[in-house]
Amino acid sequence: MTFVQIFTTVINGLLLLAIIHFLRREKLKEKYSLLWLAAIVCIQLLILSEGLLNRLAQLVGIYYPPSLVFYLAILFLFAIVLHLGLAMSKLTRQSQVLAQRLALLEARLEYRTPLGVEEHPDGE
Amino acid sequence: MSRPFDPQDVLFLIPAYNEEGNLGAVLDELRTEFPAATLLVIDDGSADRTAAVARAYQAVVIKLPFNMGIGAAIQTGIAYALAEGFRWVLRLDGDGQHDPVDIHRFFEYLRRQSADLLIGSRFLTRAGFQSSWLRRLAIGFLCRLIRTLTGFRVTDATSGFHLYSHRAMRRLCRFYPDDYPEPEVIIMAYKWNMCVDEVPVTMRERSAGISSITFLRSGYYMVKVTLAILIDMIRY
Repeated sequence: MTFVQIFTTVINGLLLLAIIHFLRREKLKEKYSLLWLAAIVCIQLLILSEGLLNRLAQLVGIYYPPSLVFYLAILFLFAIVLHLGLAMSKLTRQSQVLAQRLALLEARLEYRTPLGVEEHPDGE
Repeated sequence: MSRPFDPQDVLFLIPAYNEEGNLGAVLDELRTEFPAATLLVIDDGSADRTAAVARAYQAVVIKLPFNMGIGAAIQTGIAYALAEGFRWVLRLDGDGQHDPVDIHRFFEYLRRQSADLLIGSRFLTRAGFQSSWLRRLAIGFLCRLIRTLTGFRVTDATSGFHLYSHRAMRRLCRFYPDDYPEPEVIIMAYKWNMCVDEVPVTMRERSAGISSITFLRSGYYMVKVTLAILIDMIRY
């Protein structure tokens, strides 16, 4: 192993430890860790196999192999951000339904109105 | 709608966010014009005395726990109307730009024929406050866009002076557009095969506070609304 391989493997290992740490503490949900774990595995494969990057770049017709790394990194970050955006939108919708039901319940308590037809805004 | 129109079946819905300055006058006018009406004020997380003002005029008040935007506020009111058995929801602004006297025109229309979405338009008779030329240009664009997509000949796409039928309420309770919902509601009515029409109203310039749509926000408004309309067309 060359020095750069050891160095990047250590960094990669620290990233893996951080993810596992957050998972154990339940600060990160498993489903949000999957993309990160997949990325760590891919990075480690690229670190260990010197020829892999060159062969992959050749396969898709990229002349300068390191630019494939940048391309994959951008794709990966795009996927993570989109994933978070979807998760956030869902939370927004759910918190809206919760807040509306709470407000309606409070009003019902305050005005002591009889329960009418059950009709609520639905998030799903 | 087989049942004849009865004004008692209408819930007056006023979404309000920090409107203590204008709300009192609006509710006062509504009480004078429609003494027996149920007034519902949705306090969209106001920091001022909006809810207290509404209670002073015997309006039913629903306080949202935090500011959620006009669409969610109206949706909450529609859910309340359905739960309480109202057949119609009349939505008007709490800033005083909609004249309660014009509500009679909505009711006259409904005594003659039915509609699912009835819009109060300031451009049908061209009376009253007509807005700035820039805003009229933007409204004109939105009306043309809506006409191209749906065939509806609306003249005031951004008017928030709306009346919803029971059928529209049931749909809007499940999906009400957020942020700047008025043009989108028209698109959704088209997608739900609903009957849309307009009645002439006279709008007034707001007396206190500031409009939610400032000059700087207009550009963002147009881009957001146009995109939302196009997305609505392919929504399922």
